[in-house]
Amino acid sequence: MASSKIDFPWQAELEDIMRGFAGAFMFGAPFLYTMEVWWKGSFAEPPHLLLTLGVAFAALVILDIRGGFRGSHARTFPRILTDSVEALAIALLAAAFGLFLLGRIGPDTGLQTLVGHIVTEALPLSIGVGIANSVLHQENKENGEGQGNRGGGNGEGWFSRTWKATLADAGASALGAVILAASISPTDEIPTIAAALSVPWLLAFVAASLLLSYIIVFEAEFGRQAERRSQQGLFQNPLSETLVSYLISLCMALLMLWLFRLIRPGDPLEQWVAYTIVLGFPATLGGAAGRLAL
Amino acid sequence: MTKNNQQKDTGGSAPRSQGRTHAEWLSLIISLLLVSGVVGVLITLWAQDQNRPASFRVEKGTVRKVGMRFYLPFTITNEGDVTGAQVTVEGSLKRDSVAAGADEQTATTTFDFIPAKGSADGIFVFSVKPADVDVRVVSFQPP
Repeated sequence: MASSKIDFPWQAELEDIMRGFAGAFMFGAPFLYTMEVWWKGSFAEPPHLLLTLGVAFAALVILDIRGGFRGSHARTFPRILTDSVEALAIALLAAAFGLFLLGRIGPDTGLQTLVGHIVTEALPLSIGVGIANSVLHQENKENGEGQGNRGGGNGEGWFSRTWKATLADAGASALGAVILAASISPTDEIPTIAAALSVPWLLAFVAASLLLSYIIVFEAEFGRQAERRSQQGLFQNPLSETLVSYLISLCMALLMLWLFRLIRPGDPLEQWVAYTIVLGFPATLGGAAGRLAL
Repeated sequence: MTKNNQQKDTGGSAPRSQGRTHAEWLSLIISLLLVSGVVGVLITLWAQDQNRPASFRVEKGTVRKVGMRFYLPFTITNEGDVTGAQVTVEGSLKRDSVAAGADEQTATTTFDFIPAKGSADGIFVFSVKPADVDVRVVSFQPP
């Protein structure tokens, strides 16, 4: 990591920032899907919002002492302060992007409402940025150590090892997706968000879900990437992993929606598709987290 | 912080290179601009905040016919400095514009929240053409 930072400083910086965004969404997705948080942003007064920003910054300073969003840790107090400013900026941008994607803010939103929504959502998202590195980043292992654990024993054939690894990753994706989607699916937020979305916007949801899933596992240097890339199974190609895990997450989202009776046989196809894609966004973040935890 | 402490890794990650790269400077400058911009906007809003109670302005759109019904879109704007909750808007046809025998003269809708300086859209549905309709806020609550 250090040599990559020296040799490719722009790439290293981009990876750090992407890690921050990924942490923000993984931790903050349930808050983005909570209408009470939207409402709080609607009627928060400017002094209260300034205090919220201050609390978020203080939390980021504390978290950056041992965690933060960068691959290497800050050492000096000025560095901790500047990294925390960057983390706060990442949280604000992530909140703005998330709220825009969910249709909660737009060009016709009033300035005070716009800032209120963004700052209120930025508080939980900043915690996600602050813990991004300490919770999810692990040093890459040079020789693919641990390959045998997930790929099966050495005595097994290639076919058996490949399927075991694939099923393990698929199971982890499904579990992670269920954990995050289950808490959101029974709420009124899914119909509320879906009702305001057009077909092109749903496609934007799909693109954002795929992009974040890809960033989390392969671009943000979360987890054991060198180890992951050396493993076997259908999940070890970045594009196929992203696509297959998204499909699994959509299936889990659909299952949750059906179990909580938000979609029923006889409901219009548009409703099934819209609800599933809207819930698929947090579900795919959970799926990515699940594969990393494996 | 001593030099030894500075060289000590704090969390198992590779040590940060001394000094800041051009990329890190750029992201720091952008971040400072963004955060200070948000703080500046909040301070400006705070300074301009006269704490005026919620007050509403309603603008009617163009009527369109859908089947046997007439849709009247409208936009409501909160011009106060405080959010209005449960804002109920009523559209009522003036007596002269109601055809003889028509029984539907009013339509109402309620908005959960209309934030300060914010606006929301709604549509009234009438069974007769609303040639002359009065649209007004009939009630709201403080948040």
